[in-house]
Amino acid sequence: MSKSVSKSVKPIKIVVIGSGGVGKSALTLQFSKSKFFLDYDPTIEDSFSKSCYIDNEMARLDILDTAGQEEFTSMREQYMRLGQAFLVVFSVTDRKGFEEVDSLIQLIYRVKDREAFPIMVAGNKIDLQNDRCIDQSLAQELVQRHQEFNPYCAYIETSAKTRLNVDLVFHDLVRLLRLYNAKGGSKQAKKSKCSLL
Amino acid sequence: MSSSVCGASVAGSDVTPTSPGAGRDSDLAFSLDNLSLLVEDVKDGFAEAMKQLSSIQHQDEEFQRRLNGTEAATSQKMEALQTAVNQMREQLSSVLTRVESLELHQRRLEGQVDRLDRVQSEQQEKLEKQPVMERESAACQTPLLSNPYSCPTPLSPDSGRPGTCTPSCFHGNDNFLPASCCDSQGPTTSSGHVVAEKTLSMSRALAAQQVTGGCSPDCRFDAEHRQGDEEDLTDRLSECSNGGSIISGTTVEQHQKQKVSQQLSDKRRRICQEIVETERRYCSDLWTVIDLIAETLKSASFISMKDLCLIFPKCLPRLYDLHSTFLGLLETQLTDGNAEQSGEIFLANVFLDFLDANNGELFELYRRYANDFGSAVRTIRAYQQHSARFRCLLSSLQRHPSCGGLDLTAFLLTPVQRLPRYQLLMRQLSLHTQQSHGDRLGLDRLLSRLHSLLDELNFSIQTALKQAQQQQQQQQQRWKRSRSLTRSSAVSNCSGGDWTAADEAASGIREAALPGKRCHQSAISTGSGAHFLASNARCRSATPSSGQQKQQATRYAVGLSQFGGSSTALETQACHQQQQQQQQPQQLQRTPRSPATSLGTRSRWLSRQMRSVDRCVSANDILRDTVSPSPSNSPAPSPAPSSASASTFVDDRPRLRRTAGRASAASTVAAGTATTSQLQSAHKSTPTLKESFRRMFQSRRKSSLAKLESLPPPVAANCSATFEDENGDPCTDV
Repeated sequence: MSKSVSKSVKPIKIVVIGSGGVGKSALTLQFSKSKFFLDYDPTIEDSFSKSCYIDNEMARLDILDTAGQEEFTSMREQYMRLGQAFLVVFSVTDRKGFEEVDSLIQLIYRVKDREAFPIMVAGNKIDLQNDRCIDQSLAQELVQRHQEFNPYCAYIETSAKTRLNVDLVFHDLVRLLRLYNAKGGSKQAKKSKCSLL
Repeated sequence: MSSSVCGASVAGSDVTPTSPGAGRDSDLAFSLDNLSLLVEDVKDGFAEAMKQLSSIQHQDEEFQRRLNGTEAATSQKMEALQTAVNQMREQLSSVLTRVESLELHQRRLEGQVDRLDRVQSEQQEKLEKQPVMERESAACQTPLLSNPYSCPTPLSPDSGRPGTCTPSCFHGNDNFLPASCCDSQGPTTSSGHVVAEKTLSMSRALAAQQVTGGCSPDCRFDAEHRQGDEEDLTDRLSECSNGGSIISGTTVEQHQKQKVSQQLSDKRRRICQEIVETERRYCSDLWTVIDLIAETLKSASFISMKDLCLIFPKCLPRLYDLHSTFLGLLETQLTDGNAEQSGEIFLANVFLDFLDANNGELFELYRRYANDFGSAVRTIRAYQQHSARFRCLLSSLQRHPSCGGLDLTAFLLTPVQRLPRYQLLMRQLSLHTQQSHGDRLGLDRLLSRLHSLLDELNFSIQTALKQAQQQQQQQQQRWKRSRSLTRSSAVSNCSGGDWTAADEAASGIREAALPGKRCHQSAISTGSGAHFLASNARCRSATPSSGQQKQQATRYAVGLSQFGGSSTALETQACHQQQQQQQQPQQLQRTPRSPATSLGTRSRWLSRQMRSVDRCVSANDILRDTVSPSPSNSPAPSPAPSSASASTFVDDRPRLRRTAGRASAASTVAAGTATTSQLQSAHKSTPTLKESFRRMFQSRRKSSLAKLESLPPPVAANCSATFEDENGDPCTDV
């Protein structure tokens, strides 16, 4: 029984990106092992796999954590090519990280050669309300700009420390991907090539 | 005082002679006065002396008091010291007992390792004795390795320590087994020799790790335990020193400082452990790729060797070698005796030494790997799309316990991710390293070193990627051109077959058609021959050497002459076809049984004609490319009929174009006239046929337009003329 289930479920490759120190690993770690290390954050393995039920449907997530590779830009496109859905993380306490979100999303479109793609933008560290410098409205605005042409883009606020919305962000991403696949987004949104006659 | 008494007595003796007979009373009174004065003097002196004496006596008392006080204090201190020393003695004795028990444990472990060694050697002997076919199964059945998917727990009899027996250094062992099992299940190509080799290397690795001492999980456990003990001891010692702060005067501040440094070193140790842990996992991942996945895919017959090389870059085994030695170094460092004593671990220098020893190679390996990674993923994608068996194989591998549910691409990505992760880990380590720490300088140096290495790698990969993209674009262009070439030849061959069929239908044309066809075929063969030679020559011209110049020239000459032959063949073919065309309408009018099919063949023939021209022109271009870099003044021996030479070839080019153009133009004209007659007859017969003709013309037009698109610009200009009259004719006719 279990064999047939695992056989029928195709793994979903999720790539977690974002600038350094925004909590990519913490989010992934919380989702995978329900742990948060306050004083010390161990970097988890590069990729890990987790199965869960989302909307009564089995899903297997292969999550690729890209922590530490923010400066190693040449390989970024390589592993981006592997992703079927993206989690773009920024920290609400870090303006620089937020400013990179837009360029990262653009890079996803370019690498995947699509105009629409399942992307979840996560504003992390909202437990640190005192240090907050990115308003929710600011992030919403950014995502709404993308939603005009990419309906599979959403924003959510998370806290890896308090485990707020940690599961939700991954589950919503899977839902977006399902929607995208159901609408045939992979074929429809591909840039059409000009044909002669 | 005594002197004054003396003086008085002297004065008394002096006075007595001066008053010999006068009044003795007055003398007596005088001497009495003197005496009383003297007595007073003596009294004063005595009092003074008494005063001095009493003051001296008083000071002495104070001293005594002080002495008593200090004595009491020292005795107190002595007591405190005594108690402290006693405490320390107790601690020491407990530590000693612990160390003894650990030693015992270690001895037991050594015995186990020895036993393991013996089993290994026995296994090896068995393997050597057994015939080749049975070896694999033997490898699976050896008693030691009876439980393939479990950690090597049989090594540690005291299984009361859960969780600590990570498949650390035995990852080879751990992964090796499933792989061999897989091999034995699937269609195996790997012989027992491979298995024997593996066991040998395994036992070797084991022995090496045994030597280093940081090998077995239990050993590591011991080390951790011992570290814990150390911590305990240092804690207690610091408490003792606090207790005896009366003596040394240790302040609270110092204690806090110690606490902070303790925390820091705690974190440091954890980070160090994580570095080693991730390194271990990385090595085991690499091994999984090399041993399990690659071997399984190799055993699958439907993947070509070339694609396998693309999927698994050649540098993987070397990377594994390097990193497993590095892991050994790190583990030794983590469980080193020195590290235990001071409670500190020094990783930076190990890392630096490793980088120094293998800097060039490591960089080169990772560079190559990163460059090959893209093509590997592309190959996997292609296989996944087209081969169901491949998909099945990958998913079965994914379910394998040592894969942990991850797929092949995730495994292949790990080396790409590893180097940046070193930087991340080392940065964390440096955050938790105090300025006074012995590792500080090394860490700083290591960080800058890693940074520059990554920068360099990043840069070189980026440039390589850019180059690869450019090359890909160029290749695509070249491929497009060559595809049009090959397709045209294929189509012309194919339609040649069609052509004969049509010939047979129109019986009278055979005589005219056959020589034309022959000519056409010869033209094709010579054309392709010339193309081959030209490409060959081009390859040669890329590496010019004085000795090869002659050969090259002759090759050119032969190629050119053949090409000249092909061009003349084309001309004759064109002539023949013109004749054929002239005959055809009459024949067709005579045989009206399948006008539509003949028209179809004719349009096909037309396109074929176009393609052959196109092919010739592109072959011409290639030839020109090869001729232009080298001096083309070598006269040809001309074995071919047209006596073409290299010097005349350049002049031949426009002629060829002219003839090609003429041929196509003539053929179109002929086709036009033929179609007109066809149309006329068809118009007479049925109006539906007319429709079909129109459709046919449209399709022809499309194909020619597409052809025009695919041609290189100078040729396109040439062809547009032919296209116009080709296009113009039928339009006016219709």
